[in-house]
Amino acid sequence: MEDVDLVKLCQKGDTVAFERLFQMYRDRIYGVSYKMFNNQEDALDLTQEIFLKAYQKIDKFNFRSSFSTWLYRLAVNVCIDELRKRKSGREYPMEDSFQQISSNSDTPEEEAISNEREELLWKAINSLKEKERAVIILRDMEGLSYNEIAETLKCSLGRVKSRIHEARNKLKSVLQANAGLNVSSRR
Amino acid sequence: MALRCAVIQKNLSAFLDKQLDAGKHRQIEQHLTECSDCRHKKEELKELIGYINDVSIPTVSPQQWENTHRKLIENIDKLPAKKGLFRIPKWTFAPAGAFILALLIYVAISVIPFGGQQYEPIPVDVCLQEHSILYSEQIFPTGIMPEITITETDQTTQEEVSDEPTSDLDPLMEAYYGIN
Repeated sequence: MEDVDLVKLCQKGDTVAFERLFQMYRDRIYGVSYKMFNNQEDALDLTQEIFLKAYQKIDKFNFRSSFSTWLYRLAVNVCIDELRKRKSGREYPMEDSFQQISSNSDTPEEEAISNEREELLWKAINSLKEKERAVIILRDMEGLSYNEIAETLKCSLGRVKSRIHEARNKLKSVLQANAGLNVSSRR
Repeated sequence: MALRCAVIQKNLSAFLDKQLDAGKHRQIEQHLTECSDCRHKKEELKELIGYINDVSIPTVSPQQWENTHRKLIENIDKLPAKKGLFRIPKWTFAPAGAFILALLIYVAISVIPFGGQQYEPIPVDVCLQEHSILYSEQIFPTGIMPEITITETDQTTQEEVSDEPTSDLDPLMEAYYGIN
């Protein structure tokens, strides 16, 4: 059954159709949440919260965009709100689980380097502003087009272009400052 | 850095993401063949994007999904019930509102006198009296209606009723129908 049909059923109060949407999209929403928070427990909690919000707001979905774009927008907004809340409350915890992530590296040395690189990358991503982080995740991790990002974040295409440019430059600077990546200037 | 290089480097992200129009894309491509500095910046950016693309996320076990799903269902159950099929479509609000307004106007016109004649309540006895006169006038022509008075002695019981017409009604019947 197509997304559209499932959404129409959900709007009529069919919880089974909603559960089907949950099964279809849970991995992608978990992916976005994890990349925003870099913490599995938080990511799962947020996935649950995002789907709860989706259930509450599904009546307002008007089929002008695809359901996945609508759900992404909701996910990104919930994550940004949560990040802001945490930022105002306490220091954002840089935790998790680089050890848990299975690496494709062949040797233990390569694996260690890869883990260290990833740790630094997360640190750099976490130093970005919420919306910069969102564009990097949507573009470079989720593979959305600029148009889809503009629709998801409800901003202009030009704004998306400039945010991506700024965010990547910031990431590069942070990584170069930490000397963790081989992304270095020759000068 | 030349102004041209600054403009090129500002567009490198969009260039790598193939988000520029064909003309701009060709210009940058051409510039990159000539400018080693911009070429290096492009390689750095490409490397960075590669690292970000490669970021992995921990897999979720079936048990963790089960817990997340259970939590979601519990929270959905706590929500106020959705109206589902019994929801009132928004388009019905306008005609319903118009109907209620019309009803209110009708009630207002019916109840409020708006300066018209105000009627006072008529006592029951007066009402009966008027009804009696009207009724009498329909049966009996004006002027021939004799005055009938019923005294206590005229009151009879069922046993006392005889076949003979009562003497008090005789003149009345005679006057009107010519019956003797």
